[in-house]
Amino acid sequence: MTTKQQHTDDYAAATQRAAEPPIGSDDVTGNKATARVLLILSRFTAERPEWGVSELGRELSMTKNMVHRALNTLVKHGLVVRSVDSSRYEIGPSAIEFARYGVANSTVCSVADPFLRTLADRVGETVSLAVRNGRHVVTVFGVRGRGVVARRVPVGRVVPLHVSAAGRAILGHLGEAEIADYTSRTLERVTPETIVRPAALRTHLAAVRAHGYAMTLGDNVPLSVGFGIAFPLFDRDRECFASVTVAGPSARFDVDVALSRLSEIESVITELNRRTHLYSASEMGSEDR
Amino acid sequence: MTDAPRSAPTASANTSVDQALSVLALFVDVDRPIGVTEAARGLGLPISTVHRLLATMEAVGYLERADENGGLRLGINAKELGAAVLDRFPVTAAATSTLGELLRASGQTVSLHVQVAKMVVRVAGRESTSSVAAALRLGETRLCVDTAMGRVLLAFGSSGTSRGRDARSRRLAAEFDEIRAIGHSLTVDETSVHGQTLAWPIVDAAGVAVCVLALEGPAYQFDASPASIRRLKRIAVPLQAEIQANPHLARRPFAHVPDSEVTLRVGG
Repeated sequence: MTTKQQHTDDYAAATQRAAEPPIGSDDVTGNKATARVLLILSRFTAERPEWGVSELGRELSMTKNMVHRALNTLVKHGLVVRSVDSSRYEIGPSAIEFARYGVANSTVCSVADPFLRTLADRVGETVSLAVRNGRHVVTVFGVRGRGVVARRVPVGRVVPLHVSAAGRAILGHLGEAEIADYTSRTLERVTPETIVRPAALRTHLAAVRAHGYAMTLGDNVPLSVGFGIAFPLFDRDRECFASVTVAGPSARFDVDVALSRLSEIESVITELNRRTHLYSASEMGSEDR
Repeated sequence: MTDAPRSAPTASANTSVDQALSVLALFVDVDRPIGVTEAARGLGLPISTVHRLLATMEAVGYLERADENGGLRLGINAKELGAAVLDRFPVTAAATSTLGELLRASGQTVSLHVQVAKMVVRVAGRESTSSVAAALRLGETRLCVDTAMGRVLLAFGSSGTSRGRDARSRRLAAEFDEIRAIGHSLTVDETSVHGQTLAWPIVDAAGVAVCVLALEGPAYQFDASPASIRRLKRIAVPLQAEIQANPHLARRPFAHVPDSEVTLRVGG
C-alpha cells in the first residue's frame, strides 16, 4: 500500500534497481524508461485528468524531451490522447479497459486483507472488518493482535448498528433519512451503556460523523475489558457499507493510546478507502443495505 | 554494447515500455492474480525480462502482490486510471440519483452507456441486490451493433441509419425505425440466457442520444408491461431535462479523436 508520494519515491528506487542487476545496458535503459512512462501515466487522475508537457516535467523533475517521448508512447497505446486543441494531454479511451479489471476477485475481505494486516502489525492490536446487513453489522474477517492476550476477532458476530463502535461508525455515516428511519424504531439495549434514547443517539452519531470514527462506549463489551476505535469504509457510490475496528485489551489500549496512534491508523484507512471507492458494495459481496 | 548505434537505447526503451503496457493488457484480460512464469508464457518473453518488468511495475504501483505465492494483480494506479476515465463523461455524475431511483423502482441492475468511436461502453450503474441478477460489468465495451444499448445509440445518433443494402443492414435499419418509433429497445436472451434488457436514450435538445439507460435482469422477474416501461422512463425525464439545460453534461471526451485512432478493445 503506497501513496502517490511514495510512488514518486519508489520511482527513484525502481530506476535504481533497474540500474543495478547485471542484465545488460539495454535492459537498464528499458526499465528506467518503463518506470518513467508509468509514473507519468499515474499523474492522470480523476482530480487532474489533463496535463501539459512542461507541467509534467516540472512535477516529476524530468526534461521536456523525456516527457514528450513518454507521452508519445502512451498516445500510441491509447492510454493518453491529445486534448481538443492539441496543447495538452488527457486520459485516453484505452484506460477504460482497467475499469473492467478485478471485479471477480474483489470481495471486501480480499480488498481489505493487506490493510488489516498492516494495521495489526503497526498497532499490535486486533483489527476486524464488519459489514452492514440492513439494521445490523456483521463481523466478517480480522487479524488478531500480537501477544498472548489480545482481543478475539469476533467473526460472525451480529449486533444492531447502534451497538458497538463498528456499527456506530457505519450508522453515523449513513444519510440523514436512513439515520432518522433507524432511530425512529425501538433501540435494543445490550448493556447498561447502550444508547437507547433516539435523541442521544443522533447527537452521538453527529459527533461520529464530525470526527470520522466511533469509539467503544462499553455498549457491547465492558470498557473494563476492552476498548476499540472504528472507521467507516465507503464504496464507489460514496455510501458507507462497512467499518474497520482496531481493538485491544483495556489494560494497554485505551482512548489515549488510540488517539496517540490516530494519524497512523487513519493513513492506512485512507488508503483502504481508495480501494473500496473503486468497487460497488455488491461487487464486494456486501449488498444488504 | 559500447559499439551499439546511438539510437539503440531509445529503441530498447521503447520495446521495454511497449512490453510493460502489454503486461497491463495481459493482466486485464486474465483478470486474476498471475505469477512471473504465467506472465512470461502469456507474453512470449523470457522469464528474466518479465521478472524485471514486473518488479518495475510493482515499484510504481501498477502491479501489487495478491498472495504469498508471488501472484501479482493490477495495482491501485491501474485501477484508479480505469475509474478516472469513466469520470471523464460528465453524464455519469449527473445520472447518479436517476440510477439509484431506477434500481429502487425496478429491482434490476441499471446501467448507463455512452458511445466511444464505434463502440458502446458501460460507464456507470447500480447492481441489483436480488439473489439472481445481471452483473454490472463497468467498463464493458461492445460494438454498437452488437447490443441493444448500442443500437439505441445508433438509432438516435446524428447519423443513425444503416445505409447498406445487404440483409443484415436492412434488418438493422428496420430495427432502428422501430426503436425510434417506440422510444426504446426491449430484447430477450441477447447477452445471457433468460435475460431481458430494456434500453432507452437520453437525448439532447436536438434529439441526438447523449447516452443510454438500460435495465437488465432475469426475464421471469422483469416487468416489461407497457405501463411499467412508461413508469421507468418517466424516472429519467428530469435527467434528460438537466442535460438539455446544461449542454456541457453531454460532452463526449473522446469525440475529437478519429475512430481509427481509438485502440479500446472490445471486452468486459
